[in-house]
Amino acid sequence: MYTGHCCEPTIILEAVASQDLWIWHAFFEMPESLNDINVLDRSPIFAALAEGRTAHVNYTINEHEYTMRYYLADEIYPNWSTFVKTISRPLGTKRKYFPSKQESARKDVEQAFGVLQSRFVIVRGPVRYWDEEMLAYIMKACIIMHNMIIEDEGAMNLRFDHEHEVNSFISVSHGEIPELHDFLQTHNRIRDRATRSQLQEDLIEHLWEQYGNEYNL
Amino acid sequence: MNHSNFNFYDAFDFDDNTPMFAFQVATVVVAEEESNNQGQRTRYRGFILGHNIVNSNIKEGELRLFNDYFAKNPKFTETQFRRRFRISLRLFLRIANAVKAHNPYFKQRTYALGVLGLSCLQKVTAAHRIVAYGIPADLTDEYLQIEESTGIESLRAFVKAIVEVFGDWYLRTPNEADTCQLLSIGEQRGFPRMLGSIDCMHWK
Repeated sequence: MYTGHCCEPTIILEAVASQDLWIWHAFFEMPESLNDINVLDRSPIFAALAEGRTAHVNYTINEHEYTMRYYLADEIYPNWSTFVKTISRPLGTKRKYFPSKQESARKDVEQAFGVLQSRFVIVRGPVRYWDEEMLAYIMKACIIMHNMIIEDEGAMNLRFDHEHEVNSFISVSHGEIPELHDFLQTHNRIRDRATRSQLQEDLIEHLWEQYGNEYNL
Repeated sequence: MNHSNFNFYDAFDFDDNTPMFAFQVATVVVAEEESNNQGQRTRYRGFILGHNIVNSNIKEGELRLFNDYFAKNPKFTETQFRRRFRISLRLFLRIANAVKAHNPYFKQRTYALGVLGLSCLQKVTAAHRIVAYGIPADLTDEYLQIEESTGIESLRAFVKAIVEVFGDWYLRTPNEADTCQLLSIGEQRGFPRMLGSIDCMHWK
C-alpha cells in the first residue's frame, strides 16, 4: 500500500527518546518513497525551533557559545548544528572516546524502539490490514501506552502526580510569531555546518576533560 | 406482521439451556421486521436470515476473564498479569476506566433480547490483545467470546479513546520541567544541552 524506499510497504516513525526510553516526539509519514531524511524535512520538531517557539538559551562548551540544543543522531542525518553525530573512523584516543560515549547515549532511541516493538507486537507486524487514519491512531496509542508503562513502573523518577498536573502543567514557552527575517536566520542556524563541526570538536574536548581519566587503553 | 402486541419475553423462556432456540426465534423475527422495512437499512441489522449463527457465550467469556485476572482471588497472580498484558494490573484498570468514561461504547449494555452484552473488560482486553500480541481479530472469540467484527470495532474505539484521553499528556512536547530534567540527564552523561537521541523506525 505505502511503498517506501525499502521496496515494500513501510511507515516511518521518527522519534526522539531519552534515557528512560520515554518517547518525546513521534512523527510518522506514510506516503511513498520516504526515507529518514525527507521525513525529517516534514517533521514539526525543528519547525517549532525555527519559528522561535522554543526558548533560546546561551550556553558554553569548551569556551564556545551556543544557542541551540541538540539531539544525538546516526550517520545518515544531515550535518546540522542540531545533530551531534558519531565519528566513523576516529583517530587518536580522544577521538575514539567520543564515539563510544555518543553511541552509548544514542542507543536509547534504538532501545526504545525495541521495547515498543516487543510490548506492542502489532507495530512489528504487517500494516496492510488498516486504513491510514487507523494506523496513525494505533501507532499513537502504542506510544502513549509505552510512555504510561514507563511512568507506571517508575523507570523515570517522575516527580508529579499526572492526574492533577495534566491541566495546570502544560505550558510550553510560546514566543511571539517572528518576522520572516528571524525565521530565516534560525532556519539557517539549524542547518549551519560550521557550528556543527565546532560543536562536535568542543564536545570531544569536553568529554575528554570530564571522563578521559576513566578511559584507559 | 404487526408484533407490537406480541410479548416476546413471556412467550419464551430465556433459560441458559435454550439460548440457541431463542436466537433462532430472534432470527426469524428480525428477518421479518427487516422485510417490512426494506430500503431503510441501517448499518447494524442484527441477524440475517440464512447466515450462520455462532452462539458465543458472552457471559461465560466474561466470567472466565474475570476469574482469571480481575477477581478478588484471581487464578493468575499479578506478576503473571504483568507478564501477559505487558502492563501492570493497576495501570490496565486505570486505562479501562478512563476509556469507559470517555466512550459509552465500552459500557456494558443490554441487547434487545434482554441479554447482557460484552463487558468493558472484555472489549478492552480484546483490543489490548490485538495490539500487544498482534493477533488477528478473529482469534479473540476463542477465549474472550468476542466476534471478529466486534473485536475490530473495539480496537478502533480503544485506540481512539487512548489518543483522545491520554494523548495530551503522554505525547506532550517537553515542558519546562521536562526540558530541565532532560538537560540535566544529558549533562550527567557528558553531553551538556543534549535533549535526547533521534532516529527512525520502519513499520513494514
